[in-house]
Amino acid sequence: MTSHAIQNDVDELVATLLQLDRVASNRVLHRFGAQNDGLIGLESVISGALESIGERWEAGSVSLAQVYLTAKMCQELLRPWTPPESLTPKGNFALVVLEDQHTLGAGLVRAVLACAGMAPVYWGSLDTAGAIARILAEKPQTLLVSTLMLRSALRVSKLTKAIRDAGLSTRVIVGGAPFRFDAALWQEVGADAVGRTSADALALLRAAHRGDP
Amino acid sequence: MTTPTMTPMQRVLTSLSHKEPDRVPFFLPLTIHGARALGVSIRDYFSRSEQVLEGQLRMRARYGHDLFMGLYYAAIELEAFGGEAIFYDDGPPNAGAPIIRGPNDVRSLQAPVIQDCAPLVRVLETLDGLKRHVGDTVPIVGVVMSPFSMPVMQMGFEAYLELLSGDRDTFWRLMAVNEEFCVHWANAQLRAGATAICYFDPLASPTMIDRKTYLDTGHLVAKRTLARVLGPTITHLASGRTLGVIDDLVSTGTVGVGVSVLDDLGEVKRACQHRMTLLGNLNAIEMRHWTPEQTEQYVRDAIRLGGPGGGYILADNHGEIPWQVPESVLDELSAAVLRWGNYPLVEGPWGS
Repeated sequence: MTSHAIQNDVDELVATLLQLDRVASNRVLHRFGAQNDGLIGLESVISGALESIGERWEAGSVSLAQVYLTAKMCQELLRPWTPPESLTPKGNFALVVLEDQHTLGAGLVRAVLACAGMAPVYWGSLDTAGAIARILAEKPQTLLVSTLMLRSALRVSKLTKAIRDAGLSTRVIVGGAPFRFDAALWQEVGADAVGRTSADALALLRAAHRGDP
Repeated sequence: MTTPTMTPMQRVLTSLSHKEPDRVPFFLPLTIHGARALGVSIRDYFSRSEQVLEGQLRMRARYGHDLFMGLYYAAIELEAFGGEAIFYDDGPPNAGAPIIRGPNDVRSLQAPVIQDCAPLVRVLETLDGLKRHVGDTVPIVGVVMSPFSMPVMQMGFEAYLELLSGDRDTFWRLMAVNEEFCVHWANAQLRAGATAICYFDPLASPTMIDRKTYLDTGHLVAKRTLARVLGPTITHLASGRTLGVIDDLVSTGTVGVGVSVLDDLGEVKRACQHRMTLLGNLNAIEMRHWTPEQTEQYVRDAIRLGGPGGGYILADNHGEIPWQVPESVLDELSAAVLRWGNYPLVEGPWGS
């Protein structure tokens, strides 16, 4: 939830991002960063902007291409402010594309998380057996699963079963087209939460890791 | 229940003319379900054209829908370009790794020769077989991927968005190759027996691309491509929203549009103003667990919103019924159309 104090800056940044105006967006960020807590403040306003853009896509007023290009722009604009070590995966959470070659959704999630100074361990595209093997080997605290096809989404149930059978506490957060068209699907496959947009991943991850540094 | 008085072809053509036929036509794009009916794997099913022909005939014999579907799977066109289709036991084949990794690959790309691609030849054989079976009594829909949406498979979605926003010269070079192939492939299917062509163009939807970019790119491609297709076309946005580009789609010359479950069917009907026939917009993902009562209600709702005045074909919203949808749901769906779809319609549209 974006605080009222930065809402005007968020709204201004959303407007410049949707115009793909790199210069104006950078100006907003520099002004905000100078007046607030530097990187920490910037991450708040950028996360707020990406969340707003995600909501607009959900409502139908913004396209997926715009969601992608604005997220990539934010990543690039933040780069001069971002210490290199923050790009190294830390925290015990992973991201996988399940049973598919389409990585756009995962790419968007990575961009959103990067803008908040978070980097998952990225497993790339794996089949179900491969994903289960990594879960059992690496025991992530949270696993973000991106799917495009219904058959892939249904295979999440095999992941959650493997987690239960192994007695692990891994929380599974799912996202992707099938979950948007069937509101109950995430529960059907035993996931712990569902993100309807890539920006949801940040809030859900923070909820899952509440209390972690 | 009223005894049908029209053939499916008459029914569909009447509705396409924005007149009310004997009942609302309906379309079940059952691409892979024939494999289940024949007791073979999906990979095996598509390996022989006579199997797909038999599968399509059996599906229509059971469910009574009004159009045949010529599509095997979307990735078949990627195979034509030298790519790979990945087969599964429980879903449509998916596109394999991208075949275009940079501008050099686009510069050297050539439009495939249809006769050199065995899977495409099998599609033509199936269309020919369907035509021989039904003549002009049942419409047969061939399918092409739009030149504008095809690059999602050819190069991956992220790389394509980068190309679209950053390298229009290479983009237009790619479109030139894709347009040539698309036109030849569409017309080959029409010659083989297809009645119409479904132009599959998900990126035309404002869900995927903003309208300004679409008008500068995909819309121009669609107008050029569809002008060269020697038969009627229906544009399908694969569950992407259509409101926002209705007038743009009309100007491409397409006669129909696939409507998303994210759209209000009644609102799209009003926006079309009898300029395009609507197909849709049942949620085939949720359909997996519809009760008979839910199935009947969703069918009734769709007919009530889309049916008045013709110009409507009841269908799913994505252009493909998932493998996981039970046969019992499809049986109930068909029965509901026969119960509620006869003209004059029993129920008027809400809010009209």
